[in-house]
Amino acid sequence: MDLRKQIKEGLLTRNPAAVQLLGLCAALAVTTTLRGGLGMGLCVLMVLTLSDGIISALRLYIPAPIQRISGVLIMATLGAVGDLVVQAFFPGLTEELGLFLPLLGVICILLSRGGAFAWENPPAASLVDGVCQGVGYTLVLALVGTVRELLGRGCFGSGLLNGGRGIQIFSAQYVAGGMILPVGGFLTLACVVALVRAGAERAERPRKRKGAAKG
Amino acid sequence: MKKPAHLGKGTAKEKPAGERLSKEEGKAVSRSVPPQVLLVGILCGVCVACALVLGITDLLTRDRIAANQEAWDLGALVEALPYGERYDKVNYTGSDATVEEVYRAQGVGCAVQVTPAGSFGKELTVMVGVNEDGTVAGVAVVNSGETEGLGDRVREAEFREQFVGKKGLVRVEADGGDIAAISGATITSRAVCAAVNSALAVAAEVG
Amino acid sequence: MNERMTSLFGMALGVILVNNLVLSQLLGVGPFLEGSGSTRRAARMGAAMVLVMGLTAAVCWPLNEYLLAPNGLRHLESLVFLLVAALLVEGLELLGGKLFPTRWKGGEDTLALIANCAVMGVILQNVQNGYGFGESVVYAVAGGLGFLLVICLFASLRERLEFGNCPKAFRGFPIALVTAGLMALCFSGFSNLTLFG
Repeated sequence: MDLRKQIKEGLLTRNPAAVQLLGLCAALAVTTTLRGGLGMGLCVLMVLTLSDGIISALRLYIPAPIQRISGVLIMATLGAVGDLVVQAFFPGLTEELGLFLPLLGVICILLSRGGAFAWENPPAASLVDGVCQGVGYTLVLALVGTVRELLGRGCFGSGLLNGGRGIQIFSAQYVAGGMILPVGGFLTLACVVALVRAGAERAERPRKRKGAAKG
Repeated sequence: MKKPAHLGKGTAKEKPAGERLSKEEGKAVSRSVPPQVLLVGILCGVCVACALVLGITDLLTRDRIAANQEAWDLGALVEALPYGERYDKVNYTGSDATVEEVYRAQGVGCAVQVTPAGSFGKELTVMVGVNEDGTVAGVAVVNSGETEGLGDRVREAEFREQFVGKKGLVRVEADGGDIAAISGATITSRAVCAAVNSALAVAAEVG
Repeated sequence: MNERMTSLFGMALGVILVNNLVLSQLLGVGPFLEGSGSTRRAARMGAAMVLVMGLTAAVCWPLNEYLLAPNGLRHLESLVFLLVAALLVEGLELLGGKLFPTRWKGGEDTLALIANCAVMGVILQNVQNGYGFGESVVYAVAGGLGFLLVICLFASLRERLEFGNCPKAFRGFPIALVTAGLMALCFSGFSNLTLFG
């Protein structure tokens, strides 16, 4: 288990949302505020890590032909558990995430491609993988959420900071309301994807150069 | 000591960490495939375990979720018709099919939850508070079912405050009334007006 | 009867144009991007989506109505619906492989169809909004049709993008996302559409 490599891959070179383009429904729909993006990302992080761990622990006992559907079942269950927990303890977030809270399980299945990594790797590596992918996803969502909220409402951290009102950076008169609409989501995500990909490419470059030098 | 097969598999493969391993490679690893019955049995076992886990979580969280839901509903009630004590639910037997629930606040008025027939089956639910004198006390959007930034903007305080103090029939400006609709969401604004009208009618009936 | 047909038609039209699954409700964006490499693939993906959605809705409604809801098992919804979708898709694959052995090209889109925000989202909405059987199936099928419409439009747009001149960082998916965003903007123009005034 190469920790540094897994971290780099989860955050940058194989970022689930920006590079692998997985779980984009949520990345567009709930990111109208920072709280939505961050909240969704953290939920996904929890469920993904847990399910990766459980799947990895069970990988020896579940035969190959039913692995895929078992993975789907396990992730769906943990997603539903996460849904109930959030509904019970974070009603504000429940309202914010709306229809996408019950879809937690589905998003995790998408992000991990049905638990592909966990089925083949020991629990420690799988847990780390879950965390790294989850953090990478959360970062992208939080970034998109911040930008959309800033440009679309003129405030930062509504629902989180300043007793729920957020810090109003500039007056609501000058906002680009379209950022809160789906079009704003697509445009922001496009920019973030382009940014992360450029960063990922740059991160991969020194390795290639070294490889070429060695011949 | 015999080394378990899976350990050898895990370390021998030179895969860059994080590369998504395909199902084919997983199958290629030597693992005896048990008979069909065992497969189905294990799958059922997984299903049952999952259902159990969910059931337990549900039992643990059920009360809290119900309490949250109640607090949320109450929030809408209070927003529509501020009242310090308990709201009494009224059994509505009138003909308006869009009315969902009616609550009375003694001496203050009543609150009506309406799901107006918006266009294309969108699920808009509005709670309208009506004072004893038949004027609108407040409007709260319980569920908008709308695109955020467009129809969802009927939640905005500016829009909802227009209804306060209104009596009789309310209409959007396009229909000759004096409610300024949300630009780009005339249909939804109209639906809210329909909801308010229904509520006013119900309030008059219920008294 | 007439009124019911009109309201069903209105609902269908609503989810195809006004409240489009991909461009307005932002469900099913994954398959939308993946399947739009070529118009042919897009049409296949869209058709598959319609089929899966309709069937899943048709099966899940009675399951929910007669099994889950009366017994207070609503919390098992997500699990059951996903299982149904998974089994249905696997079943469809088997069937397709047997009926059209030479031309069937399943497999690649399987996971996209099973674990799909669109399919799950639609089923959950059916339950949350308390739709009857007819309404559920109409909503699901119409949702799929809306998906088919936009994915085909998008695929043809993407085919043209190939020849465009575009900053290096944006080539491929980022510019496709921008295009999808502009499509979403266009479709939001349907928001004031009315049926017969």
